[in-house]
Amino acid sequence: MNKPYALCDLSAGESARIVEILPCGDIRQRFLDIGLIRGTRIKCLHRSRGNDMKAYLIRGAVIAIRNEDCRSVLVEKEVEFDGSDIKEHRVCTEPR
Amino acid sequence: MGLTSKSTGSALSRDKKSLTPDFKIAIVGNPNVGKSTVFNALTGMNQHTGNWTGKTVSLAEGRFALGCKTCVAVDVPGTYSLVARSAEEEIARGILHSPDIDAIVVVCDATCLERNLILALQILALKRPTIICVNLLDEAKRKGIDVDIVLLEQRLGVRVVGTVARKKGGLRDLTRALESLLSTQEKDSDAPPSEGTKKSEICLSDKENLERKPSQNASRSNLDSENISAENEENSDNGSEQVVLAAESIYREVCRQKKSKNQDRDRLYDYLFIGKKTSYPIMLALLAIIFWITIVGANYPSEWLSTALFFLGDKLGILLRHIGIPDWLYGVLIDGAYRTLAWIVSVMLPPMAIFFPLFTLLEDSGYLPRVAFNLDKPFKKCNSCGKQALTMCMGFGCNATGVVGCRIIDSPRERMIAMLTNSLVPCNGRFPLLVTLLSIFFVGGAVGISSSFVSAILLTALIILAVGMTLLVSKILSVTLLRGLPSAFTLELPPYRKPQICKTLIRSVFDRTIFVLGRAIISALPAGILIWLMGNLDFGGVSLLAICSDFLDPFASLLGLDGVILLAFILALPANEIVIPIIIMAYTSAAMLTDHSSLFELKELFLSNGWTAKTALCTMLFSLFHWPCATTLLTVKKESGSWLWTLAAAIIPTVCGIIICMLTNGIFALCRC
Repeated sequence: MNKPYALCDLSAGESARIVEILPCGDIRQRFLDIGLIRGTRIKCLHRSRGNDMKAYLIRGAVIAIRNEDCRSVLVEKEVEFDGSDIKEHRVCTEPR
Repeated sequence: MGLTSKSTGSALSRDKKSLTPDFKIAIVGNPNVGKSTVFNALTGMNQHTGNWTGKTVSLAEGRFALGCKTCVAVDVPGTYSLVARSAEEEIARGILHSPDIDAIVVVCDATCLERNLILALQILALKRPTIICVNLLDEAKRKGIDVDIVLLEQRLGVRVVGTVARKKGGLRDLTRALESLLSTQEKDSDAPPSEGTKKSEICLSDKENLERKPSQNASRSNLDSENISAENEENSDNGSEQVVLAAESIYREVCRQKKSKNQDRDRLYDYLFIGKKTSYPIMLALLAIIFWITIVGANYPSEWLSTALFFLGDKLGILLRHIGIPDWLYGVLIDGAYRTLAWIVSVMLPPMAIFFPLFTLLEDSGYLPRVAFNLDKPFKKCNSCGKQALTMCMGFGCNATGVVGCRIIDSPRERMIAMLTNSLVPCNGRFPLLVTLLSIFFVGGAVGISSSFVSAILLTALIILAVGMTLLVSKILSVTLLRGLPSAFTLELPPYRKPQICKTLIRSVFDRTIFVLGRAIISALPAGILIWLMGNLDFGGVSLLAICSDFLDPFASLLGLDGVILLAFILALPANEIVIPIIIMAYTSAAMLTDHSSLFELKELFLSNGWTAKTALCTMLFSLFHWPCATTLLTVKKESGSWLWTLAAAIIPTVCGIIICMLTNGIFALCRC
């Protein structure tokens, strides 16, 4: 079992799966809206200049979130996945 | 970006007056999936589109024929879910619950179907007549994504249409689907009212009313327990997760993806545009290049236009003299009105006609959200929202549109900061003044490649100053009047899209340039006449103009300006574009000079009226930081709903300008000692 990381601690190029979303209220809803829930796969693509915000690949969209807003989103790192072949990969390996 | 009657939604009221349509449909979807493009393709209208979240912030309506019926389409601002938080999302929500709406078209982005399906499923749960429109199929194909429309239709249980709205592909299918959906509904409506109508409690008789009071409508519809949106957040968490999972499983069934080069291309661009080392240099270079093209490109047409217009003016004058009109009327018409007009057209039109399309290209390509991403750190330091960078960028086009655009910011506190600081960046109406003064006082007035480079770089420096000021004022506001910590937000970075160059050129000239120019002319005409009258009305041998400018002179000289310049800024309240024409008219009103088409003559005129480099610099700085134009102020009033904040929006930049100009003036005075 991988040890859980905070989402904002991912570095560019790393992939992960959401383990737990701790924040409540507004931002939790925001995350829900963009389809970020427990079990969602995510890939960190870029960090901003000044390293206060990162861009993630979430369900086919690139979305930037400030580090402090996703500090309490826990993830476990996963082997590299490429956003493009994620579907076939998922369908065959882990039917839910 | 362009503030047109269409984009501010006042088209609604006009439509209201004409015949009531047979049907009303709402076009909804996630942000930036091409709702406005579908809307334009359906209605043949030209609502502005752009490649970023929040391009459309207010409702637009358009009429089109559906078979032998008329139908009204409502272009709804993008929303991620039916749980609304920002003002624009509440508008979207209110519309979906309105009984006026006969059908809902949910536009989905084929390249990002998984996320889009979440909203689609939420809307389907409302059990209103719905059509799903999977847009951007061409882009998806390029990215190697294959969407099985038929299977999607089976899984969702409603009509699904695939479109390529940009190229009008699949539109016929969409209208046909709408037609059949609405005709079945019509039969039903003779019988008991449809489920959706019964459920909804909001009476949406006046759409503009809805736009003004979104919160009220939202709270009313909250009473409706059957809507998923009405469940409170804690309870709905589970339900919403189910929706997300459902979307995921449907998506997995209907989509197949091959690896493609296109995605790598986007990543590569991102390394350049938001990479650590390259992002800032590229941002500055792009800004400088746009200014340079504007300056160089505007030079020649400007001269031709002014020569032509002044020639025409002379001929017109001769004609009027021939008819034998009185001297005062000649003065008002030719020396007052016509000359101001000619100035506005020749100085304003070329830079606008170049700058607007260039800016639109940037907007269409998807670069603007990257700017917000790059600038997030400084904005966070100032306790404000990263999306403020977006509204600030819109301010370059027009501050009033920038203020309307602030609706994309959820937190009221941060939204107010963005609104109050928007006019600190120069809008298009102020660029000509900056360019003119820069090139005659700091670059030597010569027209050449090298000097135009210097102008562009100096202008970029001024813009950096303006952005810095925006940050500083945001910081000050966030620790004083609008205290608070930055709120959470997510910023979508859309895929890069190739802008439609031809269309952009045509549309931006017609919609934006003509509109802004028209506004300038309308406000310049009375101002021109007023200035002429002031210059020619004597009170005891002194003209009214001289009295006014003498009155302002002591204060103006503190700012490094003179009374005439300050008076020009005050009179230019309706439109910032007319500052320079007013200054020229005021200087020349006593001794009527001929045309000041060439920059050299203009410099002579300024120098003979006591201008120095300091005067020019202070004028430019004051032009950057002073009260916003009347349109912007009225927009702030409309958006904030309070005269007090409107007053603040006028006072804050003015105070900045006064301080900066005084400092500059002081530094110059010290240097001389």
